[in-house]
Amino acid sequence: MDDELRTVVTRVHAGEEAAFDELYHLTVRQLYRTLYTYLMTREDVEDVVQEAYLKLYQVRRKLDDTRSVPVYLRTIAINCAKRKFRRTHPVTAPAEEDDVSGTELVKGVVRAALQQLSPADRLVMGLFYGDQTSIQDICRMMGEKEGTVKSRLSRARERLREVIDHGT
Amino acid sequence: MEHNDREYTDMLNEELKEVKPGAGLHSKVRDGIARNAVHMHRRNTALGAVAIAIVLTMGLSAVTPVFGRNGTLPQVITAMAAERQAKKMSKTLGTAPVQQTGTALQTSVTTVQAVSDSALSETDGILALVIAERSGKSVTEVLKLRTDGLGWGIIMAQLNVSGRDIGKAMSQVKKAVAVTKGQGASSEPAVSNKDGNKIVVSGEITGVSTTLITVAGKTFVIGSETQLKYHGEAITPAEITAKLPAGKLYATVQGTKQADTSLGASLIIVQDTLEGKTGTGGRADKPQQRTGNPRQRAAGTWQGHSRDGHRAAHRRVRP
Repeated sequence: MDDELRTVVTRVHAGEEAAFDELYHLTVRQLYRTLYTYLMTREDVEDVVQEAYLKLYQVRRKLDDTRSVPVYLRTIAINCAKRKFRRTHPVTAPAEEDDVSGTELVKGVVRAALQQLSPADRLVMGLFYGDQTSIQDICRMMGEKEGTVKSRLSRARERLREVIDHGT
Repeated sequence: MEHNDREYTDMLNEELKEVKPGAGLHSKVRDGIARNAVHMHRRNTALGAVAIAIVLTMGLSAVTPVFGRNGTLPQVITAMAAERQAKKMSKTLGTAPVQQTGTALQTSVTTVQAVSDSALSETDGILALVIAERSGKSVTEVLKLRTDGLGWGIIMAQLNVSGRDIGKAMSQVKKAVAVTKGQGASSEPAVSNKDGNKIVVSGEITGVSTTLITVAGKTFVIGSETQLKYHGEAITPAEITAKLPAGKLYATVQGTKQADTSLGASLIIVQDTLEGKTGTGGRADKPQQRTGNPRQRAAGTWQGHSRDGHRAAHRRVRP
């Protein structure tokens, strides 16, 4: 996968249009899931995915195949998602039931747990457990310090455990 | 109950396995990129057109008088700079800037009066005097070009006067006026005296008649072209005579040595006090001759520091 991705990035860098489509297919699923844990609605996620790939397309000639393009892509996407979230939720408030009304893709106990987490905590949870992303990469993507990310992860894990154990 | 990371991972992967992009998302992404490419192309085309238009306009305006009677772009810019300098000079000089400029440039009183009486603003008046002085043309010629509606940039170009020339002339005026008012440390005389006939005297008025005035022991002839000023306003010799019994009066006189060795006054500024430093630190009411500058020696008599009546009016009157 990594070798394949590196080859594709090299072709994208060289200006091959078809290679960008291949890059899309190699990265979109992971990106989609990451964004879903943050935004929790299909429409918002699709908007942000389009924006993120457009930004990636604009800098395609500057992409460096020695660096992690997926991390870079998710960093762009998370920044876009944050902006979108701020636009749609101008006042930061604890996540409510209504905030995740579009969680038709996630069912059961995980949905209940995710509903009670802040978007940022959900994102850290999804990146760390869902995508197996390292703490360092999460820090880079979110622009936060390691302590903050670990604190978010701990809080999310605690909440998830409570929900799993007690069902609340 | 404790859970390990493996459990959380499995749980999330299990629950999120249905979360995947729809089939249409790729085409949406592609459409977005295509739309953006069109948008960028249009934007770049528009920007390019604007840039070309600006370059063409600049190029054209540099050689063609696109500003009508104001001339080409460089001429307009030169004119703006010159007008700015003249405006600054007008503010610096305060009272009667055109007259002071004329005196500093040794322009005849009649000419200065003509400029003052014209419909020109003070800024334009100063510029007219300066351009005339630098170009060697008469002020009347300069005024005629101006009243014909030409901009200062075109006039300067026609008379071969550069912005640098204006700057030099303004600097000369500033120095001359500063020395006349005693504000500058410059050793330059108020009136250039290349021919040795100019004289500037400051001191107490000891005698005055309708045709003569004696200041600091020097008697000057008051002619029809002599300007007399007191507190920035015109004053007659008779009014000076009337004021003298009330107390001492002082004056700064600019004049020239006549062929018959008499001294003709061109400008007399009457003041209530005589303040300032003198070249050798002597008494203020006694004329002092500076000895350090040959041009000043040539002037005969030199009293360095005085204030015109307008400024003196705001100062404490010396007992």
